[in-house]
Amino acid sequence: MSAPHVGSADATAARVDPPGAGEPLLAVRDLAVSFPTESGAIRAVDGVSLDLAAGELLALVGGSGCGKSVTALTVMGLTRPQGARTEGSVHYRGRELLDASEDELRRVRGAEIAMVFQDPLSSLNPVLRVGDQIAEQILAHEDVTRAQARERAVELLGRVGIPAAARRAEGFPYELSGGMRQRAMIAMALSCGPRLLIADEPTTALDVTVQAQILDLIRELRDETGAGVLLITHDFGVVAEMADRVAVMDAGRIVEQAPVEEVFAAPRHPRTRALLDAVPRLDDPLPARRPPAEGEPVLALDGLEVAFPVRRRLLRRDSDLTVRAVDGVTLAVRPGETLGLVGESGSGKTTLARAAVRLIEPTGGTVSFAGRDITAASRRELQPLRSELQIVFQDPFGSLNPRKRVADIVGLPLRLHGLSKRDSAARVATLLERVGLEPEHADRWPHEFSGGQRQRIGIARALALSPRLVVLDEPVSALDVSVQTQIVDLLDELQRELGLAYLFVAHDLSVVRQVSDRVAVMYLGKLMEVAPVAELYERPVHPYTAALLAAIPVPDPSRRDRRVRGVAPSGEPPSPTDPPRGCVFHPRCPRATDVCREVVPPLAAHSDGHLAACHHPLTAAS
Amino acid sequence: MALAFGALFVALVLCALAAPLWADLAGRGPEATNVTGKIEVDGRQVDVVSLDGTPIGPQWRSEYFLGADANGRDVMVRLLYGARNSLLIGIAAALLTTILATLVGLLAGYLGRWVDAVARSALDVIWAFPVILLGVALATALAVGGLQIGPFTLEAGSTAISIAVIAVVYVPYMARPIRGEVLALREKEFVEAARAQGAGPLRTMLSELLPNLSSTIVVFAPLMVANAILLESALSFLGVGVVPPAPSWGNMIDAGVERLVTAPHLAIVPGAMLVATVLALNVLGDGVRDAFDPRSRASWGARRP
Amino acid sequence: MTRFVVRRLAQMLVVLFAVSVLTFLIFNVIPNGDPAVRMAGKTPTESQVEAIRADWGFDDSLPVQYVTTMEKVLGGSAISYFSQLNVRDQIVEGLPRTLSLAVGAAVLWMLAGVALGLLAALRAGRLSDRLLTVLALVGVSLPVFWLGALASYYLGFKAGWFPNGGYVPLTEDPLDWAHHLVLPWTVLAILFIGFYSRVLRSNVLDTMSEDYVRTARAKGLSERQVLLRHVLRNSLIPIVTLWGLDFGAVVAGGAILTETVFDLQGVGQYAAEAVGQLDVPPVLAVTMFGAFFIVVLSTVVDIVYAILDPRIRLT
Repeated sequence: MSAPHVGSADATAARVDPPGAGEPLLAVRDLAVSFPTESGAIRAVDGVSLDLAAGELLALVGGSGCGKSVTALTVMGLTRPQGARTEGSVHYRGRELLDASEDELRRVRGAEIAMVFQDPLSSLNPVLRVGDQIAEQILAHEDVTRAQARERAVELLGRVGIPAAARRAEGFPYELSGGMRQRAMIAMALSCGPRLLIADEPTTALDVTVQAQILDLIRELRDETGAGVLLITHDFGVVAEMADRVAVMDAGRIVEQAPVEEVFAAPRHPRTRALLDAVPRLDDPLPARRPPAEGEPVLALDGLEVAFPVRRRLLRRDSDLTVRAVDGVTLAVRPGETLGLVGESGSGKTTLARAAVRLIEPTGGTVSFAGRDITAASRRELQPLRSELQIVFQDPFGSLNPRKRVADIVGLPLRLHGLSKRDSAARVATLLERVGLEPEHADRWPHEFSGGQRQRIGIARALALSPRLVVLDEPVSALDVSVQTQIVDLLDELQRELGLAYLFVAHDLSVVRQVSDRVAVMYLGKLMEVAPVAELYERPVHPYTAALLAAIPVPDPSRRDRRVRGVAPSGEPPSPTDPPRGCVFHPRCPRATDVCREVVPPLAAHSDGHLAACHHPLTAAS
Repeated sequence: MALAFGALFVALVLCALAAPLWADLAGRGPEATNVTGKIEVDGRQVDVVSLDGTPIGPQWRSEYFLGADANGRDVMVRLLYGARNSLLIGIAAALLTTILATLVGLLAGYLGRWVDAVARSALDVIWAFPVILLGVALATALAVGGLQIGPFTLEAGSTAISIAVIAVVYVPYMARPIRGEVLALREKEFVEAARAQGAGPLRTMLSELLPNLSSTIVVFAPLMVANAILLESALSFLGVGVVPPAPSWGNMIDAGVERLVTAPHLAIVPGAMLVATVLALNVLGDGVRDAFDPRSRASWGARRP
Repeated sequence: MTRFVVRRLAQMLVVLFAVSVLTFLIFNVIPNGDPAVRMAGKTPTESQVEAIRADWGFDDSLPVQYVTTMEKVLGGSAISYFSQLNVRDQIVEGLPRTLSLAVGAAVLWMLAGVALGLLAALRAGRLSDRLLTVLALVGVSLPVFWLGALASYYLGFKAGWFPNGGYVPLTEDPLDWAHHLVLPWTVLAILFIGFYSRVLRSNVLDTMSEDYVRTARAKGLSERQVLLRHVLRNSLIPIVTLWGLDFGAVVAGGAILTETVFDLQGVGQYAAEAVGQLDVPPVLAVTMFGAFFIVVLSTVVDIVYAILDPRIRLT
């Protein structure tokens, strides 16, 4: 079985040696990698052994900091510039790579072993054209002319599913969307027909629908070329979808290595079990939720609009593009309830979350809190309400002022509302304990805490004045799966104790399912569907919701082929500056008809509490 | 190493402060001329300033330690008093620049919209003039009549004018990076969090943003002092900074250049002092910057236009 | 891209106007006292002052004054009251000399600065890097007028290697032209070399830790290719724009001190001599033209930057 170049009809470069029976493509034995730092050597990898055969997809999975990326980089010798010290051996097709010379390694890199990185924006040179960057790799390894290399680059871009490939090749990376960029990176990696592809968290930065497409692409290319794939990820759903075998890593070591079915059905190492348990699954039983309290909604949005002008002064001509981030959303959160708000990037959910707390000014519609219209309230009018309506942010590293102590951070709202120093110190201590920290932590600085702990501090800050509603903007997305569960549990506890209402904004549908009473789905600034949680996940009515649910990788390898591909949306979410006419989802919807292209579907009720905006909603029959 | 140079700078400042003590020791003030006087050298009486105008060189003793200038003034005494002037102007101007730049950068960066537009335009316009050209222009314009802002009157030729001119000229140099940082910080979630708590703009700027700017300010400080001292000496060299007979390293070099052939020490000595001071500040600034950012970005040095 | 260029040009015109207004304000409005007396220089006579007042319209309203001033300066009718020579003529005469100095120094400092900066970056942390750092710091600490005076004296007058100041036009004798300019070029370049080498060093170090450099290595490019095509290319972009601006600054006034010390009779020296005499018209004119030059050049620089770095076109 030879490995022809992807996208090239020229078979002369096909290699003809057969895979050695039993000889793995990549054999790593007792690999240890340490980095010299000011405070001594840090052992990032501490005894890793794994095998990868040709045509096989091995998933290397573990929490952040476990050393999986370092392992991959060391295989290619890319940790050398940072002064890494290595022990053990890395055998590639019978050759030892660990102590190979730079020259030897250079020949292997790109031509035999290729790598795709997590962030395609920073991994591509922003000032060079896309096509040139691909051609550069080809020219480094093969004896072709510039023109030939460029031609191959365009072919490759087309092969990975980038429309208008010739034009894209002449363009720059920033002109492509995230998904397209990642495809371009994959095209580049495969340009010289490598036998081993290492993909380091290739889809982590992408929307779930785009992720599904990229994973499909990787699988396709693997089938076509017979290359071995080392896929690094933290997402067990991705592992279940893609892997033949799995290696689980923890603290620099491989703790378990087995075929994928075994790992999921009968995990042996406690760490594996812990990681698997923490993964929220769409078919887990729904937690029992309390019925919402009666009474008027705590937060009510009516036809809310938030638009940003994109200024393009063209001298005379009035070219005034606006981004309609939120385009007429009507929602209500009842006391004590959790309303989940999901959407992909560009859906407007983050803007909506901020507009609800008046961090961003609405440009239309109304925001009401506890019956009072606060859409245009001045800062002074809002001040007393600030205690009732609070927000927790996504980034644990950016949401706390690095130059202030925890006491000052959590105490700020208290001081702003007139509490004395002593009273606020006492309250801070109580709050810290409530969220699972120690009162002594008040004297420390943010950088002394882990991501999960910082989120707890952020929550403590939000709770300082006993709010009625807390808006949570992706509160757990930046955290490890095991920490996520802890924070979600904490939020649940607090809600029970204090009768809080939550507006929980996230892109991860599995997490939202665990925490919400009702769920709303947003796309390009509009609501697509709103329903009680069980209804939404089991009987979605809107095609977009169905597509989102279908795209989520299921952490169960036995269900791998059951994914209904026909429902998956094609293409990528369009730019919010130029939304489609009619139903905003119609360009990607497999059910779209003429009426969808012209008429905006209203948000109509389908059954009790279940609303959807679609001309051709999914019923039990479809 | 940076600390050693920092100590050097402190030592220089102390020497400058000690100028009057030295003047007592040397027996004359910085402006006391002595064209016709004689002193004893190796038992003989020598003209302080010879008939053809050549002053004596360094004597290495309390009187005329570093020699005399064309007017018979004691070079060492003038050097120390000149240090006072140069350092005073340099430090005061740098301080003023820092305050103004921080104010402008903070307000423009945080308040945005028209405040930012006005500030940026003003900064751009000032920035369009090369530092030395603007300094020269302002100093020349103010040289005859002085300056009057409201109740304050700055006398022509006074050190206050020099301080004001140098301070204003360097404001864009510092305000722009500060504004840039404020713009970046403004997007951070902890600033949004403060707003969500109900903090007003003033409180946000003071308690959230300013502490995060402190590292930038501290890094810039020694460099601003160095720049200010260099600009002052350039202006004095051209005649629009500190005007003789008051001493400044710049105007001493100016006078010394004329007599380079016969009495090179007149130009070399103040120049060396200037280099030493500016170098000390630059190394100190470099070290401070390294301490804050271990990745060792380039120091911006004391820039000359 | 054209949209970007048009925008920048429009901005440029606005800034030019603002610069002219500011210059006007600096000389005629801000300072205390009688502008006519100020303009008459160090030793004015009564009749001189009156004549100046009429000539420049200091009795008129401010906007009219502004227009008169602009007419005189831009129209070329301003006269120095000290030397009685036409200001614009003097500037035009001095321009080739200033440009000779600026261009030569700029080329020298760019080449040397980039070379040393790259060297320091590649040997970061080692002894040679530290030495280069020290040299760079010394370089930016040397006052140009002092260094120039000493160099001119010791290497020119005493050692006789170089002429003792003065200028020979390029058209007359290229070799002699260069011979006269070697010292001024070097002296002027030294401080910029120090600065540029540090900036390049820092840019290179930053760039080397970027993800796309790691990708370039992963593609199998040789270290030299990685360095040239990715690291250096990206690091140089900000330097190029900086260089354009500094060149403008040198032409527009940074050369004042060097020219004076080496007696090159360029625009800078012209301004310096006027300053010494507190002769306002030349200083006003040089200031305004200098700033104009910078504004135009910085617009050119912005456009070049956008060509080199496509992301800028979005702004």
